Amino acid sequence: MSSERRLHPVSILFHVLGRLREFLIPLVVLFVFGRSRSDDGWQFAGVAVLAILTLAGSLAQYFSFRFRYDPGELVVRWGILFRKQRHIPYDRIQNIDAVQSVLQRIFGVATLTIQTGAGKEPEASFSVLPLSALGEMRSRVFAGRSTATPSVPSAPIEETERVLLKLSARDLALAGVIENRGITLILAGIGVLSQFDFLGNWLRQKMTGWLPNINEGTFATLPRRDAVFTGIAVVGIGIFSLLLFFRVLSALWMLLRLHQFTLTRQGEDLRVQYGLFTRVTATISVRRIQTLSVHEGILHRRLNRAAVRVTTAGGGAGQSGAAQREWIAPIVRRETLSTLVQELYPGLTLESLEWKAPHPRAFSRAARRAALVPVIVSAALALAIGWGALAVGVFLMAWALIEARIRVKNLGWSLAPEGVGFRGGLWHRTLTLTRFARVQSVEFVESPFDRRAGMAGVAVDTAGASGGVGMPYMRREEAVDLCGLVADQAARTSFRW
Amino acid sequence: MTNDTNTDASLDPSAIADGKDYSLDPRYVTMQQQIGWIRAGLFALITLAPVVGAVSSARTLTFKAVLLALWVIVTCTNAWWAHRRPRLAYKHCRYRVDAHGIQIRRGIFWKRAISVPRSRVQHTEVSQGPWERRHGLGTLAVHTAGVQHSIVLLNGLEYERALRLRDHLLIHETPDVV
Repeated sequence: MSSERRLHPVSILFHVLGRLREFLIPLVVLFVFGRSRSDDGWQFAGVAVLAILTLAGSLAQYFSFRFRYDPGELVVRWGILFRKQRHIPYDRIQNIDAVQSVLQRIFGVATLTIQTGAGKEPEASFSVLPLSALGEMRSRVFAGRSTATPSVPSAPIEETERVLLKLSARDLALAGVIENRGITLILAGIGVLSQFDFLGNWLRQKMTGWLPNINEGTFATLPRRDAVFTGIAVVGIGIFSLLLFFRVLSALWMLLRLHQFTLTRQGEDLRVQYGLFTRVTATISVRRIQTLSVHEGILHRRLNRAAVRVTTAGGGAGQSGAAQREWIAPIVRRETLSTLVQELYPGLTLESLEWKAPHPRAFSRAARRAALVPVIVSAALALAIGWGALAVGVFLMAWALIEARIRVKNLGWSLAPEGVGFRGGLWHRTLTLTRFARVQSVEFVESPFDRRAGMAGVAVDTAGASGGVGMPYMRREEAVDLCGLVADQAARTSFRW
Repeated sequence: MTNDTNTDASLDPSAIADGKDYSLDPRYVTMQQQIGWIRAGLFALITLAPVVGAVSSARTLTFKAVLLALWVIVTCTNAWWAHRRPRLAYKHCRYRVDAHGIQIRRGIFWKRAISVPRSRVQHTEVSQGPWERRHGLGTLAVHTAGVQHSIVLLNGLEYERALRLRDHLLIHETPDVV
């Protein structure tokens, strides 16, 4: 039995800082609004008590938290009043992640989290440990796995670390432009700003002061007809530059967040590292990948690129770290896509997949379904405005039909080596693969419309974060066969976490 | 076989995995119908007061009649469906258990067939509510590591049979190490 370890002493500082951040907004509110009318010392006494409690809590957390590497499992103990001891077998560990904020980098420490398949919360979180602990934990867990399960043939442990993907600043900027996180960023920014009312008010005043200026100043001197055209032009340019701004913002965000993105492989373990300010290191075992998906938007196809994502069991979608980790390759050239996929799914070559089309009449089904909304909308508009609204209806209908056409064209399924793949999507195409050994259940779905048309759908459930993959509008007999095959093949393999 | 009192040779857990299609216990239809009647009755009672109010405040006689007729139609359809649905659902539900796992097919209009391989069963449980206890029925819950179908429920089994299915699905002949 090996000796017990503690967190890094600087943990106390980080714990206090973490608490402080939680109290920041209430404190600001207290000081800003409290000072104006009160002259009593209660609030300061309250703050002092809070500070002492926080410090005491942090000290208690530091002194009560211990962990040790036992043969076959990791043991974590914590708590003072309610003592807890958690045993985590090495072979149940899905991922080991390390996140380093700027401050943590100065101290050379990191927050380590361990994920198993259970639940959304990480199984254990070590905040904070020296950075060297990550390497140690990785090697211990890795060694522990092979000693704990000698019967399972595992790949020979490669000592060398191979680089599978390294993204340059140009790639990242491109990924940012394609992904377009700009709007999400702006919304997040507004969310933060709305916490501070005075800032919001200031912004609103500025905005309302600014907008009429354009109207009066720009258009007053122009003749009426020109004013309309200029107005349209200004709005058009405004929208265009706003969209451009979002894209640029998104590119900058990617450059900062995924700075020096590197994907390496050592034996069975994949390691992803990125970040300029907050440095993230995530480790995923190839064996623990539940689904693998290739994403292609319009821009991806234009620029001959794609993105690759994997899901693992556990690790809730709510966590930002987990959501980011799923991108195994935020952007990759099409030429190297095949080799990358082969690393993640041994034995698979993307080009050799034989895609089967949906039922020949799938389009008419999809078209009828897509036409429903335009018909209702144009009928309502026709009642409200008049027959002129039918022009809008025709446009909407054409659009819906084009979308239905593309959607059906993108649908497909294929058998892969020891697995199955589905593809679909509209402008954004997705191809998802899963191994039979990762399939949890298979469902055959047949609606009354399906039954009339001789079609059916298949849904395959996995333990991956997003769960199911599947396809509608298949030929009924193909769907039956596929369900039988997947269930049969899945039953032959044993699921390993 | 844990707390199963019937230790007959025919009740061996593996004997239940015969790969044949089975219907649910017919008592499930009766139970569902009883629940359905109670629900339909409650629905009628709850809607009665507002309908009476609306009818008494309606101006014309035709409007009164239409309102009342509407309520009668809705209530009757509801009651009829409450009576009819369990039988239809029973007719369209089959399950099959073999050495590889369990398959459940059900659905009156939207038909679904779900297969759970036995090796994916994380744990199983049988529950029995007060109403089910009266009819000697039980509900089998099969838990998997999946996301969309993390729990697959099979209602309307005979209680003893549900226990045997639970035991069969629980025991793994190959120890699952990793």
